[in-house]
Amino acid sequence: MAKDSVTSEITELKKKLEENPDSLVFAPLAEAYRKQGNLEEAFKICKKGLEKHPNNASARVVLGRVYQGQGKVQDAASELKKVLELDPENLMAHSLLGSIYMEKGDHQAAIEEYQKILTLNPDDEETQTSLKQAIEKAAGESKPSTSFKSEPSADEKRTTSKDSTATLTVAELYLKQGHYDKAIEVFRELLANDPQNLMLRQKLTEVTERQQKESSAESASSKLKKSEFIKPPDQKEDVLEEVHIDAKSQSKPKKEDDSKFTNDDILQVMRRGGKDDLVVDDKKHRPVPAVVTPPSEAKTTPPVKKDEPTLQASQIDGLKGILADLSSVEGIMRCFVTGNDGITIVSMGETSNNAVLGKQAAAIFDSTNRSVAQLNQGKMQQVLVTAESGHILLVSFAAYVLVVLANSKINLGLLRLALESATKKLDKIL
Amino acid sequence: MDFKKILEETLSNVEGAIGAGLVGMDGIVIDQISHNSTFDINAVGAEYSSIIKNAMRASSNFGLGNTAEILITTDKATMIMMMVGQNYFVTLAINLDGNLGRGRLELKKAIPKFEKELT
Repeated sequence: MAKDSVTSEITELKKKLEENPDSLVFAPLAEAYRKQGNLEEAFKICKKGLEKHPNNASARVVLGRVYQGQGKVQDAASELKKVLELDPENLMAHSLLGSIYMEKGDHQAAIEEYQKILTLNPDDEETQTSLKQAIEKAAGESKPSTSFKSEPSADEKRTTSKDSTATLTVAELYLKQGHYDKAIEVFRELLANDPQNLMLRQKLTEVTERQQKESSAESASSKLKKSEFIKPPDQKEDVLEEVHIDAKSQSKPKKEDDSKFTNDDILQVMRRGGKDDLVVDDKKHRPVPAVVTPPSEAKTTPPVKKDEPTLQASQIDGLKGILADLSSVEGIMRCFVTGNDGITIVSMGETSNNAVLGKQAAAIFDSTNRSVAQLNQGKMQQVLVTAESGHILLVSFAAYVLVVLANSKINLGLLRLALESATKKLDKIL
Repeated sequence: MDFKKILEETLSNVEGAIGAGLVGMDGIVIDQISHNSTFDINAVGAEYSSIIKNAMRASSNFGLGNTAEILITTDKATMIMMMVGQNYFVTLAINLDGNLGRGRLELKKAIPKFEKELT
């Protein structure tokens, strides 16, 4: 059935591209060929389309996937990096790059990519799992892998950044364990590598102040006073030499038993990625700072709304029933319910990338909702976007968004009727 | 034919229409017409533009190509927005009991007229 639907999609998109060769429809067409397994045709269409639309990030993602499918990992990575230059928040590109780095054994780079995804979407479970695996593999390495070392020298700068990310992770883990002195040392190392990083500087100041407040009696805190790390950048070189921590000792502190990190510790730290506020570790009553993120990333993180009600099992079953009814409407390709934080709760039809799409749909809905609020036309309930090769419908209910993706052949009248019925059922359930 | 005339023609042919406007993607309103004091695009042109850009992001993220139309339903009205070329869009607001189908049709008819005026 899936094969037939891809074939009919290809026929339809091909026709559209023939009618308008300048259309952006080449990207979904290439993706459809890729899904069908026809990588050669997908490649040709992508290349041709990108000659006319070189800044089309979606098409570059498709091309990256095509290269990946052809086993051209280096080309895939280079294409995905271009995507991130065009669109630094492209979750798909980060995710694919992460998997490519993992394949190459470049676990530090994979960690960096996965962290970026979790900064944008902290509850993405799939990425949490991938990150956990990457961290475990990186921790098991005493030195960087050979493939990592054999990278061209132009990648030198990126290597520094990857190392920094791993160290930042370790700093967070130390903080989680309450080892402020060790965390501060790592922050100092990071600052030595990147003296202009104001976020790091601020983080270091905060951690030190907290350490001083909480354990002024501890001798460790006296070693690192605030004045020490606001020295000019040129005085930082010796700090780097002093505080060198190799990958093994970073991830496995050995002094006390409680300094060993469990998988849960790692995941807890990662889950908080991008949230700038402090949370309190109930067991130890120690405030734990969130992962440091560059200002640009922190700014784009959608707010996590905490008033989202918890759904009961019966309500989830009810939602599944509603989605099943909806997906029976001819032309609906997929539908899913996402929380306003972008976490997919229930889905029907195609489920690939639901986590990414859910996050994006929630962010788009939220942003559109804010704009509509300014129009003086009441509270937004539904958004229907009609594009070249399909429709996206976003419907708000309670603290959730129902996302429906339909092909361009769908009867909009029938879709609206189905939605009307679905909305009534949703009201009953919730 | 001026823009206001096309907008007036569209509005008068749709039952329950509240107002209509032609707006640039930069949020600058080219012209508008309103049958209701709550509908004033001049004040919120940038918000309309922001809605269109969000829709474009959604279409791109979901791999659906160029955005052609957006339909927003609120608890007071339905707003239709359709692209006029790549740099402009036209919007029409209709009461909840208005004729939405007619509204879409009239906007589709108006688009070539706007395009002609804009070139």
